[in-house]
Amino acid sequence: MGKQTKSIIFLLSVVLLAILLVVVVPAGDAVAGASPREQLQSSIDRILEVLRQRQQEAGATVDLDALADRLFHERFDMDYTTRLCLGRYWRDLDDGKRGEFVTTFAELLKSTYIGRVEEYSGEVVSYGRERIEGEKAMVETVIVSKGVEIPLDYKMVLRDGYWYVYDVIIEEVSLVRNYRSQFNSFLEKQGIADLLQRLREKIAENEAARRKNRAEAQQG
Amino acid sequence: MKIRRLAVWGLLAVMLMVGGVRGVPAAAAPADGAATNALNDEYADTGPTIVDPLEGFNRAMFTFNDRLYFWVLKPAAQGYSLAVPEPARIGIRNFFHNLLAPVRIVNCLLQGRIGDGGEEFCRLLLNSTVGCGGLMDPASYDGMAGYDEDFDQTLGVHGLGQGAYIVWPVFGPCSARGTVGLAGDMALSPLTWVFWNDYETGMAVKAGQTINETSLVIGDYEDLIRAVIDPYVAVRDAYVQRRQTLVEQ
Repeated sequence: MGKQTKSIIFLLSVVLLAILLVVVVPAGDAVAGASPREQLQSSIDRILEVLRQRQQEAGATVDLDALADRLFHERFDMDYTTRLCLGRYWRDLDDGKRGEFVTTFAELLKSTYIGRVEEYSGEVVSYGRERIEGEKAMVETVIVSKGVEIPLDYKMVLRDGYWYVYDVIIEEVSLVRNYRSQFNSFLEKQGIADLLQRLREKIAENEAARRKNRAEAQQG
Repeated sequence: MKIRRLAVWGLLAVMLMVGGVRGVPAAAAPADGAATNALNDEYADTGPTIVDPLEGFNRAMFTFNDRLYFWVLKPAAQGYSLAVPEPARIGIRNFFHNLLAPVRIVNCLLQGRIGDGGEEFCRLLLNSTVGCGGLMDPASYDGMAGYDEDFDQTLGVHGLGQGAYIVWPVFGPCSARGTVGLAGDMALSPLTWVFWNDYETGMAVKAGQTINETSLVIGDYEDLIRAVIDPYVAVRDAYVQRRQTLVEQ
């Protein structure tokens, strides 16, 4: 085998590896270029599948935290969400503080909704219209829970072919707007350090409540 | 006796009207007109806002309602849901929803939405008959989801701003306009007739309805409190956003 052939084989395998990586990294998720609804649906369907498994086989050891963590990073643009929530206060922060705030705020949101996800009881998600305006999109979904339909719309933003969620609208209430009004009202009187402290207190409260719920569930 | 009642209602109505009208100029701020769900308005620093000159009183009432929920309403609803299975509770909720159809029909008409009012009327007919007096909701399966119109939305559609924010004990978050809206809805509610004829029965029915509704949403309020850093501001903002969008729809 000549030297040239060897290097061609090497080159080919590098290219093959690169293609494989591109295909494999989104891990079963819709490939880049799919519509916002398709991408969102693939994320939600994956979490619903895990929840159904959990429901069927009691004691199934699914690491919900890890899964939620992964989907959260994969599908949410927390940087953008936080920027919108902080509004004009974002501008006054340096990069370090911005990063700290994004991480802490993401922790709070996760600690809040993971408790809710654990209470899953066969809710069904149906997908409605999607609206795309340039690099922004809105996907309408409906959650059917106890015979009640809860409208839940996702606002998404396009980054490198992937659609990331940056706002959730539950029954006409935008999460971003709601947090922005709270942050505004808080920061009128106190500083960003106090707000970070408050977020950390909330996270600790949520985690304590979750531990308590789990202990009760194990006893009962 | 009747005259005294009338006088009380009249006085209340006048108070509410004054409150409603006084609240208007403040609500005419441009932020109020911003489309809540538009895709490209996120950079604006404020969404729909509401003036809150009564914040001290409102925060006190918010705390009162919070205690009322955790100390009275929630335990009652939990006990009740042990005795009554969920399908029955959903049926009872459907029944009350069906009973309040006149409110929705009239408000659709007042907003000039004749077709939507007609659909609500068809829902009333279908659910009252095929749906066993409103316990079931076959109309929704027929693609008639209905329209939750109320008098507050009617006033909003005709250009009245929300006015000042106000938290009523028991009734919860409201605005000056919403208060007039509540009074208007009560005037069209069959439950008000029950109250009018027999106060005690009226109270019992209303309490039953409230406990039934609560039993189906236990956990929602707790979740909200868990998620937020200032429950009072979060609820106020959610109220304003929701009412704004409902008026725009």
